[in-house]
Amino acid sequence: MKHMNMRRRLAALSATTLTLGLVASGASVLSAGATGSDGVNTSSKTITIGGTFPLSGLAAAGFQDVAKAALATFDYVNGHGQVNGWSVDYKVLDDCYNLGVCGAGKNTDAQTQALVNTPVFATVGSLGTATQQGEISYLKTNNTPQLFVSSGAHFWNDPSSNPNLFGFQTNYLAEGKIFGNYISSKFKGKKVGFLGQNDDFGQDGLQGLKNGGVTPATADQLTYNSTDVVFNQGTFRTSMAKLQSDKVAVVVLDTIPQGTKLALDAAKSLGFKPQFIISGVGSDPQTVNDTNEKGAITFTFFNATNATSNKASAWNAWASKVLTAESGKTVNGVKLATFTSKSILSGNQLYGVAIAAGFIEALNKVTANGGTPTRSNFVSALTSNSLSTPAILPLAYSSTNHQGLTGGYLVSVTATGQATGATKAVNTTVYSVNPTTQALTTSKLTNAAVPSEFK
Amino acid sequence: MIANILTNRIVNDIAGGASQGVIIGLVALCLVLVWRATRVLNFAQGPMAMFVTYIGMTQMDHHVNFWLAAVISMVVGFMFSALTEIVIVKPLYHKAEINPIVVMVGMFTLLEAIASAIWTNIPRYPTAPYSSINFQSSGNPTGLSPLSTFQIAAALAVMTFVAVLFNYTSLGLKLRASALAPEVSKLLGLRVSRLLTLGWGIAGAVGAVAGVVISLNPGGLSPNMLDAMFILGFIAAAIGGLDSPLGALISGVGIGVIMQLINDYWNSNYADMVAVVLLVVALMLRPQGIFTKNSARRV
Repeated sequence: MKHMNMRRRLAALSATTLTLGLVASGASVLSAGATGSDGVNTSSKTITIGGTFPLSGLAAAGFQDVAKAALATFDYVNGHGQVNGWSVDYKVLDDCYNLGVCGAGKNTDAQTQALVNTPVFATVGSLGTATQQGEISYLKTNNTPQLFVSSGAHFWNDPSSNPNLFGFQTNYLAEGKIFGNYISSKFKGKKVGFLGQNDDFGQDGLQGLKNGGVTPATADQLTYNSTDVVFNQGTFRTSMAKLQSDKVAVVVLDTIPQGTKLALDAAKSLGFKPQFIISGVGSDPQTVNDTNEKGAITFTFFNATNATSNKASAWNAWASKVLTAESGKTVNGVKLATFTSKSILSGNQLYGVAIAAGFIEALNKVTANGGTPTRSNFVSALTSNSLSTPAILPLAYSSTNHQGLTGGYLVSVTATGQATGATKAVNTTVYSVNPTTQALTTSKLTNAAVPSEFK
Repeated sequence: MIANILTNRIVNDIAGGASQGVIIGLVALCLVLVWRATRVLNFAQGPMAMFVTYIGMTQMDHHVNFWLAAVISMVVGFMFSALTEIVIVKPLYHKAEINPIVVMVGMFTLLEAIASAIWTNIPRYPTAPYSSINFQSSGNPTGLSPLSTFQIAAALAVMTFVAVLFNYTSLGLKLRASALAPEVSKLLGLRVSRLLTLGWGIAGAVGAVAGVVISLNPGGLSPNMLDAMFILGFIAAAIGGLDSPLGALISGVGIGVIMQLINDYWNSNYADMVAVVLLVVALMLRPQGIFTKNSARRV
């Protein structure tokens, strides 16, 4: 009997909470005025967008910094001049990277549906290859643009069938080609080995390496499963032992940060000291947090991140200013990271600032001269302008190319550790790979100015 | 000659696999201890061990040395597990068998959520007391490092302690009696309820050792760190027999070594799968587990 009472009371309580919740959310929609079905509110001049990221679970380390930095940037711009009078409401939802260990509803399908029902103008920066591939047709059916997918896969550049789908970062094919090009000139004649994740990440990376003129011996092209970083860590040891006994001098790693760490530690315990060249996806020294990474060469499309770079590059200085101003704030229910003017930017933080900056740039174009953003004029603004972001290359979409960034440059890891990890430029050559022809071109690094709309 | 053996590829794989395997064996041992004592499959074993490992190892931030931090983990592990039995599990005895399983799955999620809230998801790397650089022989690496040797030794020490406790002490006899025949033991004057709690406590302390040992690996200490090990440990316990502590150890080491040999000689993509295949084959040939002596088993 007692149990029954308890259960009833609980049921009543949860019903009340639910009702209150509904009333509260209904009230906020009502008071905000007429938000259109495209997430644009013309009376309050607010554009609502969203993104799904792992904010908890195994993939949260590192990746949650992308979401938090983007949120910080939108919040900062809203409070510092807005965009031609418009402000951006960015909803960040936790999808747990679809690992299923973070509790009910924390998966990409459910959270993307929640965003579409909000409704949002577009998803911006949602993270993950497999997670986002699963949402392409759903978002297309619901006319919601899928912008700046945070993934190095090449699947986002398909404008003829998915005109509202846009990638952001340099893809693995291009990165691999840039590595290949560098290795063939710098480590000419040296034996090269490869360890890559057994999916498009590793496969595209290896293909890129071959496109760049470097083909490791078949026995030295090794793979691991993404689950091996938890279930089968021993495979990193056997891989490094194989490359060691084959006397490989240069090892290319297309590994996620946990895999990078396992490979570096295995090599160290074996006394194996090759030159490591690590994909930008798995090399962020603040995430990998491993002293053995020092001296490794990696790839980035941002300025090197170290104690002086916050001042040396105009965009890094701006990013640093934004994160310092927003340090520790809670925005849309997400607590932002602590950041001081002395903190070293991480690659993930710059990435978050960059996706926000890209969106703000395009919004600035469509709202200039009193324009109202619509999904179609926004997409045209993306494809007809070269947009400046913290990346060292402009974000250059066209009607036939939705890749986004097409290159970057090489940096080496100079310091490791969770807050102290840092990199410095190997040289000032910026590489770019044409996503259609795969042709490689080079230019010199310039310190791009921050456009005036970023206060 | 000896140098050749020490740096031989197969010997290296066996050594490397064994250092991974003893950890699987330790997790399996925890499951077996709890199962033997109370016929409950503790699905929250991994997170419980993770939680107490955090409590001990984070003391190193306050200049507590590794050994004391490890002891803190073990003591807290014992108390936490015993308390869990008293508060959460005890009311569920003599109810449907699914009840404790559901409750412990809930506990699994809860503990990982609390750990993320307190210590965040960013892994921590406790400073290991030994180097992870492999011993060298004639300039070539062997399959073991001082750290992995320590990990194996720690696991073996725990196994030996448990074996001696259960087989050669009167407390061990009481523990076994109260687990196998609680009613008879009660009639003979044993305080069965307390002994069952003690069984959980010992399993908690063993789990803490597993947690501490794993936290020294490259993956470090994170709220999810034991999830994979729990699955492999569960497989090892089922293969060895849920009633056999020795079986848990042997099958744990066996799984570790076989996975490593597959990594090296076949394809690492099959290594996880083989653990499951081994389970299916073992259960088909000997459903009660390879090392279980009494074939009578509740179904």
